[in-house]
Amino acid sequence: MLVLALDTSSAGGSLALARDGRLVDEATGDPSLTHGQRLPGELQGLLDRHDLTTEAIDRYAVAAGPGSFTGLRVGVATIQGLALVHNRRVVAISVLDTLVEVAARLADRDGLGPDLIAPWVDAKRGEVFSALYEPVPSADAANTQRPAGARWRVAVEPVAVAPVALLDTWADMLATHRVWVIGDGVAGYRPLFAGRLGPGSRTIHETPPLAGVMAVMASVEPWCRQAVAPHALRPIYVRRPDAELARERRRRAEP
Amino acid sequence: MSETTLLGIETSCDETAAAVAVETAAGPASWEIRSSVIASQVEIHREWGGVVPELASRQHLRDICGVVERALCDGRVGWAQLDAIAVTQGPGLVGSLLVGVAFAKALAVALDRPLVPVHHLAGHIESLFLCHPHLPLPAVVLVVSGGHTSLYHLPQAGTYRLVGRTRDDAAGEAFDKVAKLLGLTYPGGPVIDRLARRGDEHAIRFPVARMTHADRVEEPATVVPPGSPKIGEGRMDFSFSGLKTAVARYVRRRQATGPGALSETELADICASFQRAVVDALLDRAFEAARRFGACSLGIAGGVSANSRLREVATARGVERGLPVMLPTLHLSTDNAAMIAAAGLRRLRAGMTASLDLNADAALTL
Repeated sequence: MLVLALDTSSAGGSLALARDGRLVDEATGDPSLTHGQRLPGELQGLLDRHDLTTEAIDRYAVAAGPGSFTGLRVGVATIQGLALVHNRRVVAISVLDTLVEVAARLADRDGLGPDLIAPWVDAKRGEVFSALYEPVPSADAANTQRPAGARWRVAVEPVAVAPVALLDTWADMLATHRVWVIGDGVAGYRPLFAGRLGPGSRTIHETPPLAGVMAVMASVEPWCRQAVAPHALRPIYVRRPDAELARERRRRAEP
Repeated sequence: MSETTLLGIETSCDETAAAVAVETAAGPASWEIRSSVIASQVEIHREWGGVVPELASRQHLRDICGVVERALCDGRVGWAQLDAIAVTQGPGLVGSLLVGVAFAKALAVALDRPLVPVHHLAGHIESLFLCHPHLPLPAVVLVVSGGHTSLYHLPQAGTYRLVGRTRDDAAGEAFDKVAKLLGLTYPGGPVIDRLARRGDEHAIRFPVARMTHADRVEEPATVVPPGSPKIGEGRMDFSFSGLKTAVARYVRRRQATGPGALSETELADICASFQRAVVDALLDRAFEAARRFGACSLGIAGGVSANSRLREVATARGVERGLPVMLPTLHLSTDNAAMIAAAGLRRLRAGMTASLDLNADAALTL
């Protein structure tokens, strides 16, 4: 089972190849180019390095978001085109789930892992995309044979919100739990975490290329079961279109 | 020559479209459109009174796989039979264009076939050749839609020289804006066209934009050679924002002084008078351009070319002046991929293919 994964949720993004659940190759994209310029050339370059064509790919994985709207659409449209021609299925993977997978793998190595994981993605406009994940309350939770991320589930649904507002909302929980906050949104807001995180909590802003993580995730349960036809791919935007938000604000302002 | 089969994709605004075209010999006389599928988003944008770019981009992504598959199915063509992929590179809404371009590039890689970038307005111009393969050349073509109002001189097939364009609103945009201020639904063109049939187009004298001194002074009838620098920039330009303001001012004045809301008759008269002003502005310049360039025909393409009054007056003026007026079918008037496939066939024949770093260009020039 050969999986080709693509992440265009942030500048540069990444791409990766996994065979039978093991990472074969990964690369970060050229951040000086737009996703529109670098794709699908960089994907073809990756395949060329392994003497492969798109026909050899059994399944695709693509970052579904949240992230840059334009980036997500370029990535999804690219994967749709590749998958449609060869009648392949695609696993759309949440960027937040992927960050939880990264954190959970670290936690497995650390021994004393977190109580909660909060992926923290830069949403621009002074906001972050975030959610809160908790361990699955079952025997599976401690089963380290299962993929790390599969032992976590969403406790608080994804939002796009100002970091301070989110940290204020989570204040009690942050003070009483070991919380790992992970993602590219951490670096820009690091000072905000000072004095808010309790013992055992940490912030992680450096992550591996997400496409590599996604390529492996798409090969295993539970994500491999979520593979769909390319027609059914839907980005996870989290933030609603500006036009809808503006209309809502206008309606609220009306007497 | 063997057959060339090409898939065209169009996502420049709010229609997701795909078409399969086949060329059996050189030139448009041999072009055959095997299928043309359009997924319109008009119902999504109606409640907003215009196209919302972010909503349009999101919908393209939902529709593109199904639209392309349907085009292949309707055209009875498999992936392996395609010789090239053509896609609208611009101009248009960048988020919408990006979906089509990224998708088309992926198809080109997966199929190992050439990618042909197409200018959206070149597509509209080529829609005329789909309907009239032997369109007399040289020609002048007016491309008029919700996003564009431009005049092109075609000295020969495949060569497009811009000789005039709108300086502000496109004609179709003016229809939409006037419809909105009259409380009519989006898109405004078809609604105004329908209401205008019941009105008196001479009831109100709305101004036709005069762009330059030359507009007011009749010049001697001379035929200018193609590409001549004597045709100064702006001489063939259009303007519609003043007309829209004039309608708004008229409606405000009427509502301030007259009784109650506009009656059906008043509404129909405003629509008819506004439409006449637009049609006159468009055709005055188009026929003038045809005269200056010694055109053997005048083509009118784009969404506004579906306007019944424009078609009627253009055809009548053409008969009067002995100038054939060429119009596309209604299906080919609005945005579609058949025209992109046609323009793609012409460019492919000329060897104009793109590399994989092709990017969407919202302000692409022709």
